[in-house]
Amino acid sequence: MSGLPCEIVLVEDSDEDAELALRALKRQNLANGVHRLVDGAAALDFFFGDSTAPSRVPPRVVLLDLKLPKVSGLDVLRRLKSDERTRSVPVVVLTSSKEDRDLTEAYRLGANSYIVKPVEFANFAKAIETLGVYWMLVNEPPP
Amino acid sequence: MGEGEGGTSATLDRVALHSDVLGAFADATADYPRLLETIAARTAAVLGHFCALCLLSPDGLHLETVATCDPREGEGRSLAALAEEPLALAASPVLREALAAGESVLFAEPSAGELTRTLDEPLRSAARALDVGSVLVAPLRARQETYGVLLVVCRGALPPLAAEGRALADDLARHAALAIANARLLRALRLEIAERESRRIAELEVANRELESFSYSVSHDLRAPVRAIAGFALLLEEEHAKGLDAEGLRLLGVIRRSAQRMGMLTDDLLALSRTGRQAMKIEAVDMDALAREALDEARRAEPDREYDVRIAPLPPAAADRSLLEHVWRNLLANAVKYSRGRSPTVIEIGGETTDDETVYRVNDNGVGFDMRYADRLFKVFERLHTEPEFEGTGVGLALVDRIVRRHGGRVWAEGALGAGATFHFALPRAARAG
Repeated sequence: MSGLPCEIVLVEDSDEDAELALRALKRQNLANGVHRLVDGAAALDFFFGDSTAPSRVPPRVVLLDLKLPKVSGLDVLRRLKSDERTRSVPVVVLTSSKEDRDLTEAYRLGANSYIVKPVEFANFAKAIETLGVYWMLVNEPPP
Repeated sequence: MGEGEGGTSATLDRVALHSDVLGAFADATADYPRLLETIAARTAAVLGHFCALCLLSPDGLHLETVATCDPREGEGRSLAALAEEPLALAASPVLREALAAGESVLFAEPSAGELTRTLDEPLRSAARALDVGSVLVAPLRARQETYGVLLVVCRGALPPLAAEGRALADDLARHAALAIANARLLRALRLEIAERESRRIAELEVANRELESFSYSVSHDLRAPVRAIAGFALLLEEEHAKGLDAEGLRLLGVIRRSAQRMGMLTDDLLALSRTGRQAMKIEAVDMDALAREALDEARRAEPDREYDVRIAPLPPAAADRSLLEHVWRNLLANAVKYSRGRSPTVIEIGGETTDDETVYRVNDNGVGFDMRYADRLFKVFERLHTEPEFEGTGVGLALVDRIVRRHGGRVWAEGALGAGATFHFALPRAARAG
């Protein structure tokens, strides 16, 4: 994995949604370790692109939007969960879609959690804060 | 049957017979096979001789016997043999001759024998077994078209048809032809109508699916920008309130509330669209439990009120459980909402089974509604109260309507201004998914 060590990788194409998510994380003082990526290709590049670099500490959690340009969120998820190096990184799928198909497929591919982005900001912020706190503070990372 | 002198009463008899037969033809026009049997049967009855109705094949090369009748039953077998083989016109120059002549031709001996000889086996043997004495071949012609022939066979030693009998046979043939022409027309029209209808239904189904899919995508894609508007307006308010005066804050408040409302509308539309699309799983549903849960949920939203709740035991239903949850939730949330200000709030829930339905009802003592607008209640975005009075998107009842109708049921409501409302929904007892 390339780049600085980070704790939260946010893969989100919408600048507005990314900003709202960052602000929510900031409220829980979790914003510093966030690395934002804007599309699926950048995500694959981040995780698998620099294969000669010494292995870094994997992020504590990946927040992955499903609807991404270039490479779709589901494809990114598939890669992450099928590769030894990244399989154990928790991935939280964030999406506008409550469509059963996406839900089933995401879980089938190994998503750790699935959150539908609520329209109300307060709810959205709460959801992000809650997940941030959970994955960063409550959950035991792999050794 | 009389072939003798005419007299007034004999004439009247004939006329009566005539109109009776024509009446029978007319009655049978709508049922083509029955018409063909009727023609053969009536002709045989009137003339007292074996009759066969033979129609031209679509390619015009064969005459196919479609109906026969022997006025003396019990002789059916050999005649049926005659009936089963299409007569190739090529094989029968006499038939071709009769068809071409456009009027009836009588084959008395010896030409009847010749006719029989021109037939191929097994018809020839069958005709011999029939003991054909004479044959009247009457073409069926109507509106410039020839449909086939009526054959009237006098057997054995019986005298061939005389003038009156022939005239009668010709008459019957003419009317039979008209009846056949009409029947075919009717049949063709019906077929066309049925085809058009099924094409139209298929088109409508496609249009419907496209509309559903469109409304889904639109609502879905609207969520992100709505979230941005609501979110950033809130951030503005929270973090930059100092830079805004009272009026500025008020304007911001309007933006926030509008975004909030838009969010509710798109979410509700999405839910509505989803209920139209998801597959239904029909099972026995404990309606009693569902209704109570929904009522509790509704009351939790407005706990500081006095409630008087009366629930009669509810019969179970054959339905999709999660969809019915939506129904109860909406109806009970409405009952609670629209009876704000009433103390106590009285809500009654009941249900009963009839022969083919189970009917449930929810009644409240709230503001009710004007029955004049009852038909708008279940339409999307239609409301009978304004926002300041009662919040809502106007989608809840449309959802209830959609779900109940997918189950093959129906919804309706009664109310009076200021005197509460009762909402009913009926589900068929036999499960029907749609």
